[in-house]
Amino acid sequence: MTISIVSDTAAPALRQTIAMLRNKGPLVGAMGRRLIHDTSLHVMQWGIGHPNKLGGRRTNYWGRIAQKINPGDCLQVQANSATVTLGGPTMPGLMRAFGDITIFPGTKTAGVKYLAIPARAESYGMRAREFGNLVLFWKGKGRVGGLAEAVTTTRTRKTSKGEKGSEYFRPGLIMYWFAESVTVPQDRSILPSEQEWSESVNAGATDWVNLQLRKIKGGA
Amino acid sequence: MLSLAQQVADAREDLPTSLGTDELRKLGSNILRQSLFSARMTNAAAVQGVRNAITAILSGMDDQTSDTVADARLKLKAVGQMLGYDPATGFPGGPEVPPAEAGTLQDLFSTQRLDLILDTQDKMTKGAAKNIWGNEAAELEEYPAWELVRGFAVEVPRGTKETKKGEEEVPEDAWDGKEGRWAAALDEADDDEASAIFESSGRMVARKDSDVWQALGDGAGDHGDTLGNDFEPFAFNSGMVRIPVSAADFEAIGGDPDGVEADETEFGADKVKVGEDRFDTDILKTLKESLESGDLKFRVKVEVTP
Repeated sequence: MTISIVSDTAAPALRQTIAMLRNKGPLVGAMGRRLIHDTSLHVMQWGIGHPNKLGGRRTNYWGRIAQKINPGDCLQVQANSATVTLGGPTMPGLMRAFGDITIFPGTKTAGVKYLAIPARAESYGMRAREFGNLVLFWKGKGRVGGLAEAVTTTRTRKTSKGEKGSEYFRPGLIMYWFAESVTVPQDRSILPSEQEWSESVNAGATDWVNLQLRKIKGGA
Repeated sequence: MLSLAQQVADAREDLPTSLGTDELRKLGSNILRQSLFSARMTNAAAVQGVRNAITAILSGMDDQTSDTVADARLKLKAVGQMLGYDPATGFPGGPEVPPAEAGTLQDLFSTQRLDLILDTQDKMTKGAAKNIWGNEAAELEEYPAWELVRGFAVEVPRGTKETKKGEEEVPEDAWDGKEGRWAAALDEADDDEASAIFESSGRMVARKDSDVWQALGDGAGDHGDTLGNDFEPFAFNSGMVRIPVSAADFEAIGGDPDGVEADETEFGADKVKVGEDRFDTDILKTLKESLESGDLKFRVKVEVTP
């Protein structure tokens, strides 16, 4: 996703004044930096305010994404324009702000047929393979339902030589549901609104102009 | 192009070590900043595994999306199995590692331990990268100060302790508060300006070139859980981060935004100069008036591409 600071609502005379600013790079750069800092803070606070639905331990997924949103990595400044690039493979999830995201299994590990959806708080942030005691459970018609904690049961049967016991595992607490795909609904609130972004760039512009005037007056 | 955090990670040397956390701290922050390590991680292949896991979190590998911590942890557990690591006996034929109970923090490939390694290394590379982009000339001029804020939710924040009777307050361990770590670091750094800001506003704000950041990382107030860095995470399992404070905001709370010097860093340009460009006063004044009156409004255009 790219965010460009593209135009203004200035009257023609004011446009001429802006056009006289020979190097607009510093001005649009300041606007881009403000937009980036405000976006990073917004994503960080959004993450803190949105704990896991099951109440499990926090993975701080959004906090980690927020730390990747910085001018060093996301800002490109040209002579007359600034472009902020967010999202892409290093920030998966941010695109959810603009539409539903459907996740399919096997994109990271080839051959995986199902996504394992946490069913309990303790399975959140853990991969199913990290538990050593899970067994499959079925949900009728031969369809696999997910993974549950294995409960050991001893079954005894009478034989000609007396009673013989054998252990087997049966599903206990359900830890993960299996799904062939998952669609995470759009949530525009993950990122600032376009109105908030516009406010950020205008605040960045105002601060930059004030800073330059201060420098001319002998400060900074 | 590699992200700044990835470049920081790439610049660091692998440091397989039998040293524990306290001994590692004694090596000094310079060595630790430039090394990729984990206490008692003696096996070079295991440290390489950690490096690959960090790369996958920061940048993704083989054109895939970035790994989550859980993805990376699973891969590292596979590395531990491949190397034949056993918490009771260590690495087969390798340098000795103190025996550990499986599943504990001392077990080098336990979930708890790997989470700590990955979380710390992920935050450290991003924190060091922040010292690079945060000290670039324009950034330094427009945002001369940092503010310490909570960026990650944690189960038990510093300043509280879980006891049998419930949560108990430990004010000297908290980041904020009069007895907390920030106050201790301000004392040690002798930063009067940041102290005045803290007293009047309660905000943990200081110039980027203040010694308070290093004092915080060095464990001012006698804290033994810090990492020796002037960037986050200042201590293990910390959820605190620095966010930039604009010159206008800094001045409004009593700070002096002028003449902040660039932090020296082992990773990037350590000498930067604040831009000397001067702009026409009349144009600037017109812009200022137009922005303040609302006659001039900039808009952003968002292009969403998959």
